[in-house]
Amino acid sequence: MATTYGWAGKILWVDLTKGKRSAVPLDDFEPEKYIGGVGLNSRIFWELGAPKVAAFHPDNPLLLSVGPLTGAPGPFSRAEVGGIAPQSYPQELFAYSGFGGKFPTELKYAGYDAIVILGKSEKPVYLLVEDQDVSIRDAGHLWGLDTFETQRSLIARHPKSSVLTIGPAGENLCRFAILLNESASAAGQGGYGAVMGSKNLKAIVVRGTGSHTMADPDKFLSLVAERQKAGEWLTGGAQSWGRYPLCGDPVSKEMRTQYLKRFAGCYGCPYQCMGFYDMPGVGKGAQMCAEAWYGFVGNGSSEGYWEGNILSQKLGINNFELLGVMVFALAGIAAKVFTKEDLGLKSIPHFDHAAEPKLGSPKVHHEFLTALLNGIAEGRSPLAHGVGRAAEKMGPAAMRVYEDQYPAYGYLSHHLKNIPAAIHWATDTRDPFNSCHDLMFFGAFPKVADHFGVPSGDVRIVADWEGIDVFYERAERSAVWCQNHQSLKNSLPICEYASMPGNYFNPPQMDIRIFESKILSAVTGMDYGVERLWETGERIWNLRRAIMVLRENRERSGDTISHLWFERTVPNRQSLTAPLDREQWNEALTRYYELRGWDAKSGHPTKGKLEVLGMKNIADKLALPAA
Amino acid sequence: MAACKKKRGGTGRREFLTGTGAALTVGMVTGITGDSLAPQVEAAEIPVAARIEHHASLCAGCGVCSLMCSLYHEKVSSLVLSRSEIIREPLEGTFSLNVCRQCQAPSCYQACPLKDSALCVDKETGIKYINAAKCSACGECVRACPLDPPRVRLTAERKYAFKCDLCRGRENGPICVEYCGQHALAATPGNRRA
Repeated sequence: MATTYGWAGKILWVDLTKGKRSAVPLDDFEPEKYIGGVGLNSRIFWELGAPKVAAFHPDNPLLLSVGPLTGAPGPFSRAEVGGIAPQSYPQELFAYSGFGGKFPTELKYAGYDAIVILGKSEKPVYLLVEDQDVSIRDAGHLWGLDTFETQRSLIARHPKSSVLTIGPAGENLCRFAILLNESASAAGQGGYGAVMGSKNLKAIVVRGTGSHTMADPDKFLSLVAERQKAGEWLTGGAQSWGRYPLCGDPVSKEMRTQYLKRFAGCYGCPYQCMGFYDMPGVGKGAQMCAEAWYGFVGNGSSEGYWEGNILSQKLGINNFELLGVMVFALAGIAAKVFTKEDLGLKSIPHFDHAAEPKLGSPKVHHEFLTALLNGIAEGRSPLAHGVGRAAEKMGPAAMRVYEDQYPAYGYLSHHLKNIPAAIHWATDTRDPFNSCHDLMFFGAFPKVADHFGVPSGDVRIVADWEGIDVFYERAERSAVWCQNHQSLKNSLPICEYASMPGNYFNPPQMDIRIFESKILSAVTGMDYGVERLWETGERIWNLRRAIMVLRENRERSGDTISHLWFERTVPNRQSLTAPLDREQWNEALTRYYELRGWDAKSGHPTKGKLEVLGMKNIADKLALPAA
Repeated sequence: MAACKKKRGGTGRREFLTGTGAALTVGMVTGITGDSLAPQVEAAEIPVAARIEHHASLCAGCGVCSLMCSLYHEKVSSLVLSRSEIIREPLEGTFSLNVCRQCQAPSCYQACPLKDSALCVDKETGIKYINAAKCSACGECVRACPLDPPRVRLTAERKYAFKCDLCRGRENGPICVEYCGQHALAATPGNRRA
């Protein structure tokens, strides 16, 4: 069997309509070609025929995959969720969202590489996976509980298990509801919490007493020892971003000095990139990045920042879209496009307490946050279906406010600061930056960029992170590099922060590609040399493109971002500093398709390219250009 | 000691009271009162072994210790084959570690019908360790362990018993200590005999 090591060899296949559970051989889905995570989810989705159904249709599969590295010590306890994403706007698209925590490791030890959930239960249930014993249990008593309460209740009943759950937001089909494991380990973007809610599935509980096996444990250990000796084994750098509130001082300083209890993070990773805070009266939990959503707009209120994070986690709402909600609400009300009442709110600190220090007392923030977040989680708020859908209902002026901040697919602008990032955005199905900070790294570190043959100098990473120079030359190279690497990161899997291009950077003996290639080879026992590894990333990206073509009629004309980005500088620090030039953009996009080996006119992969990548079986199901 | 249990009608207590003077002295001096002291052991003749100390306030509950442990000793990553176990409450942010205390008067050793072949005491370091190749997996050591849960465990297939031996013989010392990113683990020095 090909997948003796690293992989568990089985997919847990669940049909909630029929109450059926079965174990399907992983080898039916070409794991050596698509690895796991996003690659495996995409391969399963392809096999299911890339169904053209709505996100809340029972035939939309909720896909959850780990990869061959999951279960080994290191930054590998990650899973990817996939399926048709209700958050995508205006069209629901096949997308992805990753999470860490302990659940992914536990799933591997239980003996599975993936869970596929189809159908819809008649009443609320949870899925219990105890190694090979899989049952569907009544969750009537859990429905309505928040994510923390649900985890506590289920762990009390099933000790030592790990729980992936939705909160009230997922139950009420909020289109940006999350799946949460422990605290701050969430599949955030995509709205997959609502997909789970639409299936009446409250939680997945996993306990695994098995093992993760490696082909060559001694080689794995010596690789780790070698990098540890070189001072490179998970020693910080990019990972340290998330330990303290990203919104900066005074909140960060106050939280750090008064409320930080310890570091936290994913299972098996020695770095622990999150901070665990306990603020009496508000609550305790972890934070790492977008958890600071309210801190970015809260004008120095630590209580507001922390309650925003704790409450959104408990209710199961995506922090990144909440940042979008705030940006949209504040801009729209300030411009008198709509009122707070239009958003279902009685009071907003930013207007009603604008003159007070920190925009008012903790009580003011508490009242606002509970009104806003409960409204969203319970489906009463006009914003419960995301900013795009809310803006559309409110009319063209509101749409304009939305477009200011949302470049494509209904996702808030994020690191869209140079041309490669714009290409990456334009050719994805969601914001690509859950997992591709690589571009920022290249922009800021010419030595690293030169080594990998991509341009540099178009992002300044220090200071205020503003872009400094917009240029088109060779932009397609960075975009392709990062997409291929992103596909690998989300499939091996390896943590985004632990696999930046500057990690393990000791060329020519070692760099991130060599590192990943060696780890994957030691674990699987298959020779994933750097070339084969990179081709695997490329293959996964091509499969995702094939799904876009088959299911979503994706054409070159769809590969774009909001027209505003071409007309003016968008007032957003996560954005380009100059408008895109239409002509140069089109040329760069053409070069992108050529570098991909795709047809530049249609934007479709060619038959020839897919065959070179060993994807004849995929190509045969599509009407594609030949060469 | 909070981790110490009284089981099967207070056996631990009785053994403690009937312990030899020498054993009692060693126990008190080294601060391991409460560990079971079996009457036959000449504890004073055994060097005080090192043991793994867990600093709960630093621990993030990441479990690198467990995964590295099982990988080093069993060549697989697994929670049930690790010599140590993190008890995690991630939503509370509290974590504790269950691992062999290297009792000075080890009841596991006393209970082993194949002692000095299966369950052995390193004369130089005082470390109590299991020679898996000789172990019959009878489980006596597991039953004898005074701690709850027992720090000696059997493999799921009952092939042999295993417990922490501080990675005896490993150049860099215990692997869990080496790779703990939070510096929450340390090995006490022990008094290795020259």
